[in-house]
Amino acid sequence: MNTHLERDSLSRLAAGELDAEESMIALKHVETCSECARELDFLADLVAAVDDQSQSGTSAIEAREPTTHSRMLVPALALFVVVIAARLVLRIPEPVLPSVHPEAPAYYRVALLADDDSPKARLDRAMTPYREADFVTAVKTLTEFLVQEPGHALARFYRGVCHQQLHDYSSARRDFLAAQETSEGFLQRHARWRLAQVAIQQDDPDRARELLGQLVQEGREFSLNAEQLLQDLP
Amino acid sequence: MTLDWQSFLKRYGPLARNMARGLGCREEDADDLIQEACASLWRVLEETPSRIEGESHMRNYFLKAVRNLSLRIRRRPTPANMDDLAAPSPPTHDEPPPWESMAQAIQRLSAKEQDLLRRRYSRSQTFAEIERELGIPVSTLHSRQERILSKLRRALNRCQEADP
Repeated sequence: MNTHLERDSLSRLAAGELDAEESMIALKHVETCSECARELDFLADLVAAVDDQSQSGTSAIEAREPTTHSRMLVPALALFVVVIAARLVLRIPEPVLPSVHPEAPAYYRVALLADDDSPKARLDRAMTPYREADFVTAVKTLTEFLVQEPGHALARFYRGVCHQQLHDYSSARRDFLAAQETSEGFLQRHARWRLAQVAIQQDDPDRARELLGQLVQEGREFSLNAEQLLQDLP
Repeated sequence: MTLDWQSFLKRYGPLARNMARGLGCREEDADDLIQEACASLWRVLEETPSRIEGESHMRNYFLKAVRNLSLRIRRRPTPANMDDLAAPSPPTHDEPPPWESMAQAIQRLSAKEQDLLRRRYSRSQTFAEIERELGIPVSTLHSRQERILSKLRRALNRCQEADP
């Protein structure tokens, strides 16, 4: 009884070009037509592979990663990581408002702050939702900031924290990697520590061990935590 | 019926996200509603497993849920917790996932062909948008995509034939 869907209907569905009614017609048809169902699977694999390749920016095969949404945390380890991470986050110096002479009249200070377009002031404004634990909005505001300041390591780091909070570990990993590569000192080590956490959350204990081993070797502020976490790893 | 959520989401998640975005969802909402659709599928599998038999039914249920939720969901402050969704069956990696041979086939395409696929299926650009950016007529883009898809189908058929 089946007449197949128009040749490009499914590829338009895969590209997100069908409206609500068209997509329902296509999906209903696929339920009863094995040939179109095979084509839909073919396109799903295509989108998955292209998406993977685009996200990694490298080879689609080498960079294949576990999905972001179906990771399982070992509850005890996760709790440990969260507690430690929360404590460590507090150590990060929060971006500060631009300094204004304390004697300046209030209206003048406000005007100065409003006009201040320095990266520091803009990052501070972008961080407002982060401070309110609204990580979805924070990803957006930090992304807008990063469009203007693409190499800003601290902003990448904070956006990585937001992604991590939202369980989007692939995105978190990308941001922490960028922060690690474009910074030095404390921020670099902190990004590495976060990368180790994300590796655990992505079920990649080998990668986590490698990163934690580096932190232990560095013998700085993360070495004790890293050592303890290494012992707890399966 | 158990489901390998990792493979399932890896396979159908990106297409579902494109679909959701195409239906007007913002990026972050698309991720949320995919989670919501998973939760819905998970509930059905747990409570009335007889309603869904086989991966093709799961795929249909999941994509329809994404489509329906796309029309409803506008904004949610935080995503659903997915930690326990993996519970029904731990991820298994005994067999290579189906998109792996696809990824290999894509890598054998020219840079221009790969770029067109990325624009269409990762950035969800329309042919008209690509035409504006690259100056290539829509009709040419359309036929180029058809050629690429045929090439991939042939490559995958060869892969499948080569496998014992």
